[in-house]
Amino acid sequence: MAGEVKLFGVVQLARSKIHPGGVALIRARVTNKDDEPWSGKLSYVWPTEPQLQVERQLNLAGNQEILLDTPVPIPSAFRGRKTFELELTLRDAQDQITTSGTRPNQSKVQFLPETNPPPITIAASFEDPPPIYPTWYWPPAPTTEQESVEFAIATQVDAGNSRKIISLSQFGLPLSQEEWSFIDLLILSDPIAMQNLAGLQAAKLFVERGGRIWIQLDALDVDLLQPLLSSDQLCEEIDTVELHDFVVHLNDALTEFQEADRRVQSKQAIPMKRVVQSGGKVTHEINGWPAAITFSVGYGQVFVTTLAGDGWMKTRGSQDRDPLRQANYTLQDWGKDFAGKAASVQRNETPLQSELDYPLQRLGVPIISKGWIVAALGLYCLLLAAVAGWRFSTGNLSPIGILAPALAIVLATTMLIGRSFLQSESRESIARFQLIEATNDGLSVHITEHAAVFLKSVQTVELKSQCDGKVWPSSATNSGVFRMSESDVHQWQFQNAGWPAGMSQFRANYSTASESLVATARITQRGIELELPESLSDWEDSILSFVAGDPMIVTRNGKTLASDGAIKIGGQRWITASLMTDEQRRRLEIYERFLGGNEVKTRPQRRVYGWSSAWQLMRSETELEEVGSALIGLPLQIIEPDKGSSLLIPHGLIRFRQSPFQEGSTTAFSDKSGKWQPDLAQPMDRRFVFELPKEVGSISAQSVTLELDIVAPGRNVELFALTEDGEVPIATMESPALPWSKTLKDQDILKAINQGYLEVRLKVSTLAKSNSSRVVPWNIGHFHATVRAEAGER
Amino acid sequence: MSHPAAQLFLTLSVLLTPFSLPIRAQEIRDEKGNVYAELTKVSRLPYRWEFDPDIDVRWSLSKQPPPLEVPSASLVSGSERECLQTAERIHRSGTRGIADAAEVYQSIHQRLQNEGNSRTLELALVSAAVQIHDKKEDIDFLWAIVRSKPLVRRIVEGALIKTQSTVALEFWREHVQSSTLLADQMLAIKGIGACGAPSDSKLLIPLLTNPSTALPVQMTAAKSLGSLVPRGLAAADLRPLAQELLAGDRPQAELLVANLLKHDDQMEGRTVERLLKGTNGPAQQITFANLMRHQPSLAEQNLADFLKHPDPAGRDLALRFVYEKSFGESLKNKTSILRNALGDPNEKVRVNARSMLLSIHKSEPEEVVAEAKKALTGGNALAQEQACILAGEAGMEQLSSQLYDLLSSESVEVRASAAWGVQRATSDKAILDSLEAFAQQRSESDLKSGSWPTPGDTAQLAYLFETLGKNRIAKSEKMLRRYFSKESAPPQLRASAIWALGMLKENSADGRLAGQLEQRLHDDSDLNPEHMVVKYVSAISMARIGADSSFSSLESHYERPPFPVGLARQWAMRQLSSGNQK
Repeated sequence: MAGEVKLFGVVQLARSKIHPGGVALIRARVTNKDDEPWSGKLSYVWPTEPQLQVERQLNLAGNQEILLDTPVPIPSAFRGRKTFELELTLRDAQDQITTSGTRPNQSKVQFLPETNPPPITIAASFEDPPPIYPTWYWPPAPTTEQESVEFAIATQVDAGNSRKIISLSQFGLPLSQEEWSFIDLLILSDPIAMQNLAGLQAAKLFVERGGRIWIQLDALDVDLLQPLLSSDQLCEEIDTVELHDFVVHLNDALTEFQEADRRVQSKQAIPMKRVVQSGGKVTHEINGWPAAITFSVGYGQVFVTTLAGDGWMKTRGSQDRDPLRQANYTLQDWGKDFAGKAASVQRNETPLQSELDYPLQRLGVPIISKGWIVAALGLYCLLLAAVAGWRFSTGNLSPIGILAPALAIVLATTMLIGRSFLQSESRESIARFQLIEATNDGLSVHITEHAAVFLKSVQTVELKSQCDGKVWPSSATNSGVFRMSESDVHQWQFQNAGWPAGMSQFRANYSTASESLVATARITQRGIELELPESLSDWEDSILSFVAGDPMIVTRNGKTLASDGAIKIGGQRWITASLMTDEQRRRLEIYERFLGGNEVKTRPQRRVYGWSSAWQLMRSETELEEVGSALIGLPLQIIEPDKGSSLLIPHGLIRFRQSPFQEGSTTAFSDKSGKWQPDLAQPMDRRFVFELPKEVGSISAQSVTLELDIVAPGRNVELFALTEDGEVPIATMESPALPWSKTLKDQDILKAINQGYLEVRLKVSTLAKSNSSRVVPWNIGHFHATVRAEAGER
Repeated sequence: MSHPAAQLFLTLSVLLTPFSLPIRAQEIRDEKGNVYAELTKVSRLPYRWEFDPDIDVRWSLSKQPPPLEVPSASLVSGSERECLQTAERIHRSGTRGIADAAEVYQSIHQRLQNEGNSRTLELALVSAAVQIHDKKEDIDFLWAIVRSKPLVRRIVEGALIKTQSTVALEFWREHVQSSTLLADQMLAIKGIGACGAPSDSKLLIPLLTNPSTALPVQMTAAKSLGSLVPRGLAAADLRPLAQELLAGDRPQAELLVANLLKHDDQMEGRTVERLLKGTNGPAQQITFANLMRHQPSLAEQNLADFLKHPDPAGRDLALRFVYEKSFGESLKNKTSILRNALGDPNEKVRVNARSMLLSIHKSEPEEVVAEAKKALTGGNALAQEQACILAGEAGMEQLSSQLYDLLSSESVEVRASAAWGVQRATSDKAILDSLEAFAQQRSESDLKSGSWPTPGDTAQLAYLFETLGKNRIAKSEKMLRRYFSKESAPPQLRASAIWALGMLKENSADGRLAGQLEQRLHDDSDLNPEHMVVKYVSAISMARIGADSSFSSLESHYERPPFPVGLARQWAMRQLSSGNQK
C-alpha cells in the first residue's frame, strides 16, 4: 500500500526559532488515499548531523489526512553555517521509504538562520480583530487596529525589543513543554484560547517553569485568569468602569513622577476592570483599584493589566530607523517600568539544569578511585627513584631511558587491567537524580532528571515515557544515533542502537499530571508539624522553605515531621544525622547548590523539600540496574490553628522584608532572595517588617524573640520596634561581633505582633574611629523573629 | 457583568439605545420598521440611500462560514493527537457553530468514559463539551463523569454555576470550608450563591467573620450570601454581620456590605448613609441600585449626588431612576435632568439620556421638544450633537430653525448631526429653501477649493443633498449633477447626490440622466473603477427615473445578490419591469 500514502505541504511555522540551539517547528500533511489503514513513521533528519533524529509514529485510518506539527531541535553544531537543511522521510512499518507515484515520499526544508535573533521571544494570542466597517460611516467606525495588539507592540518596542510577535491565535496554546521552552513571554487577550483548559494548563506549567504571561484583563472574564494562578492567589471581579480623567499611583516605582505626569485625560472612555486580589503585588493603582498586578507563580510571573491599552499608551513621536523597532504608540512615562518588567527579560532559569556529579558519584564505577591513582603514581616515583639510585651506584644511568618508560607501561597496563576487572565485576546500571517539583496546586509535577548510564559494551538503550518532555544526551556522548520517537501526544521513546560503552550521561525535563501532592501543616506549641501525602512514605532529609532566605531543617520524630527553627542551617548543615552516609553527603551538595548561595532568584516559596527514591516515569527498556533518588518539592498549606491553642511560630514562617511604609529601599537586603549583601561599607538606617503567615489568623502574642547575627566592628548598632505609640528601643550594640538575641514581652510590641506584623528600625552607624583609612565592612548573617502566642478566634 | 449596576447598565443599553449597543452587529430599523443599518460600537447616522429603498443590503457583515464539520469518529476512536486537534477546532469554531453538535457532544462523552485518557485530553474534551452544550442536562451529565477529577471538574463547575444547576450543590457544601485549594473554595462559594438554600448561609458567614480570609474569598462569600436573600434568607439575619463589618477596619468593608445587603429591601438609614457617603464607587452603585428597587424615597434623597457620580455607570443608574420614576407633577424636572445628561462626558450616558428622552417624547412631546430646544441653543457641543440626533429621530420639525443654525457650528460633530436631524425632521418650505442655499454655498466652496471636504463635512453635505432629494427641491438639480465625476467628492457624498437626483427625477424617464447613471454603473476601468456605493445608488436611481434603456443596461450588468450592487440591480429590474407592465 506504499503508493497510497503521500507526504506533502511541508512548511516551517512562524513560531520556529531558526538558529543553532533553537527549534524548527515543521508542519507536514500526510494523507492515506487507500481504504485500508496504514502505519508507518515520518522521520526528521539533519543530513549533516544525523546523530540526533526526530521520528513520529503514524497510524492513519483509510482515506485519512493528518496534520503534524513537530518541533525539531536545531543542533548547536550548526553555529557559523549559512544555511541548514532538514530532510523529512515517510517510511512504512518495515522502515522502507514509501513512494507517491514514482516519487519517494521525501521532502527537504532549507533554513536561513536568523542573523540577529531577538533576545527574548514573545508569543501572543489576541482576541479576534474588530469587524471591518465601511469607510463612509459617520461618525467614523472604530479603527481596525486592535488596541491589545498595539499595547503589546508599544510595550515591546519600549522595552528595547523588536515588534515581532509570534501569533498563536490560529493554533491555540501549545500543549507540549518543548514548544513552550522557546517562549519567554506570552501575551493573552483571547478568551477563546483561555477557555480551552488543556492549553491553559500547559501555559500554567510554562509559568511554573519560569515563563511569563501577561494577561490583558480589561476585556476578559476574570474567572479565566484563575487557572494560571497559584493556589493562594485569587482575583475577583467587581465591575468595569469607564474612565475619562484619572491619576495613576505607582507602588515601588524606580522613578518618581509628579501628579501631572501621572494624569491621563481622554475624551474617549477608557475601560478598566475593577478587581480585588490576594497574593499578587499591585504595581499600578487608579483610585485605589489595581491597574496592574504581578503574581509570582512558581519560578515565573503572571502580569495582569486591568486598565485597557488606551490608558497606557500615547502616540509615539520619533521612530527608530529599524522598521522592526517602530510602533504607532509608546507607553506613558509612568508605564515604562511595566514594559521593563514584562517584556525585557528572558524567562527565569530553573535550578539544577547544568550537569551534576550526583549520578556519576552514585554509580561509582568503573572509575579507579583517586587513592589508587595517587598510590600508583607514588609507586612509580619510588620505583623510579630506586632504579635511579641503583644505576647511580653502578655509575651508568643510561638504562634509565629504557627502564622509566617500561615501568610506566607496566603500571599503566596494571591500571587498565584493574579497570577492566572493575568493569567486568560492575553491573550495567543507570543512576538518576531527579528534582521533582509539584505545581502550586499539587496536581502536576515537573521533573528535572540527570542520569548516568554504565554499559560494559556498545548496545541498544531505549527509554520510554508517557510524560510531556524531552531528553538531551550529554555533549560528550557522540556515539550512535539518538532518536526521539513520538507515537502520540506525550508518548515517546528515546533510543540509541549504538549507546556507547562505559559511562555516559543524559538529562531530561518532563512534566506529568499527579495525584494531589500537597503537604499540610499545623502550627503547634512545638513549632510546625507537617503531614505528607501518603504516597511519599520514604521521605527523608527534609527542608522547609516557607519564606525567602530562611529555610529550616525538618526533623523526624517517629511519624511526625516537625521544625522549630532551632537548628541553624547552611554550609554543611542542611541535613541532621549523627553519622552521615555517602548518600547524605551527595544530598548535602545538592541542597547547597539548590537552596544556598547568595544569588537573587525568583523561587517558589511555601514549599517543603525531601528525598525519596527516584520515580519511574521514564523507563529503560534495556535491562539495567536502577539506582538513584529524587529531591521532591511540595507546596505547603497551613491549617489554621484551633482557638486557644499555644503556638510557636518559628522564624522560617515569618517573612522578613523591607518596610513598605518608607520611601525608597536599600540594596543591603534583597526582599526577593531574603538575603543580606555581604561586606557592607555604608551606614544604614532602614525599617523592616516581620510578617506572620496569614493562616495563623488572630493571635494573642506572648513573646517575640529577635535574633540578629551581625558583625560590625567599629560601628554602633541600634534596634527599635515601631509601635502605635512610637519607637521602642530594643537594643544598642557597640562593635557587635557575636549573634545577639532577646525575648521581648513589651505589650506595645506584642500588640503590633497581634496585628500580624512587627515593624523594626535598624541603624548601623558609620565607623566610630575614622583615623583608619581602611574601610571595615559589616555583615549580617540573619535577622530572625520567633513568636510564641495563643490562637484567637477563627 | 455580574455587578447589578453593570447589569442594569447593559439592560438599559440594550432596551433603550438604538445606536450604541456594545455588540458587534444588530439591525436598526427606521420609523417604518425598515432595516437601515447595522450597529457598531459607536452611534451611527446612516445615509438615506443605505435604507431607502429597503432591499435587505448588509453593508458591513461578511458572509458567515457554514458550521464546522467535526469528524465524530476521530473523537471516539482517534489517537490523542487527532482528538486534541479536533477539540481545538471545536473551540475555534466560535460563532460558526458545529454541524450536528448533539452527535459531537455524544462522541465527546463516549471518549471521556474511556480508561487511559491523558489529563490533557480530558481537559480539552471537557472544555469543548462545555462550549457546545445546548442544554442544562448536558452539563449535569458531564459533572457525573468529571466529579472525581480535581482539575477537570473546575470547567464543569463554572458551567454549572452559570446554568444554576443543583447537581453539584452537595459537593460545594462539602468543599466550601474543607477545600485546601482556594480556587476550589471560590467555586464552591459561587455555586452556593447560584443555587444554594437559605440554610447555606451558615457555611458562608464564617468566611466573612474570619478576618484572615483572603479578600476575594470574602467578596465572593458576601455576593453569594446576598444572592441567598431572594431565595428565602431573611435579610435581617445579615444586618448584624453588616454592622460588624462596617465597625471594623476590614479592607473593602463597604463593598462587602453592599454585596451582602444588595437584596435587603429595608436597609437601615445609617448603613445606607455610610455606604452612599463613602468613597467606594462600586459599593455606592450596588446600594443605589437596591434603593431604586426597594426604597425609592431614599434613592431620591441621594439622587443629586448620584447624578454627579464620578463613575459613568453611577450617573447612568441615576438617570435610569429618573426615567423610571413617575415624578408625577415634576415631568419638567425629569426631562430637565435628562437634558443635562445629554452633555455628559461619557458617550454611553449621553446616548442613554437621548434614548430616554426619545421614549418620553412619545407621550409628552412638548416637554421633550422644549428640552431639546434648550440643549440645541445651549453652549455644550456634546449636548447639541445628541439633541440634533434626538430632533431627527423624533421628527421635531418645530426645531428646524435651531437645527439650521447649528449647520455652521464650530464642532464638526454638531454640524453633521444637525444636517442629519434636518434631513429627518424638516419639510418646511422656507427652511428647505435656506438649506438649498446653504448647500449651494458649501458645494461651490468645496468644488472650488479642489480638495475633498473632511469626513464630517462630507457627511453634512450628503445629509443636506438627501434632504433636498427627499423634499424634491427642484432647483438643486444642477448642483447635484456636478457630482457624477469621480474626482468631485468622496463616494458617499456622490451617492447621496445621485440618490437625491433619482428622487427629484422620479418617473421622469430622463434618458440622458439615465445614460449618465448607466456609465457610473458600468464603470469598471482598470485603474480607477467606480465605487461600489455609487454603482449601487446609480442602479436605484435608474429604476426611479424609469428610462426605457435602463432595463437592458441593468440586465447586462454582472453583479448578483447578495452583493449590494447585485441586490440594487435586481430591485431596479423588478421596479422597471413592474412599471412596464403597468
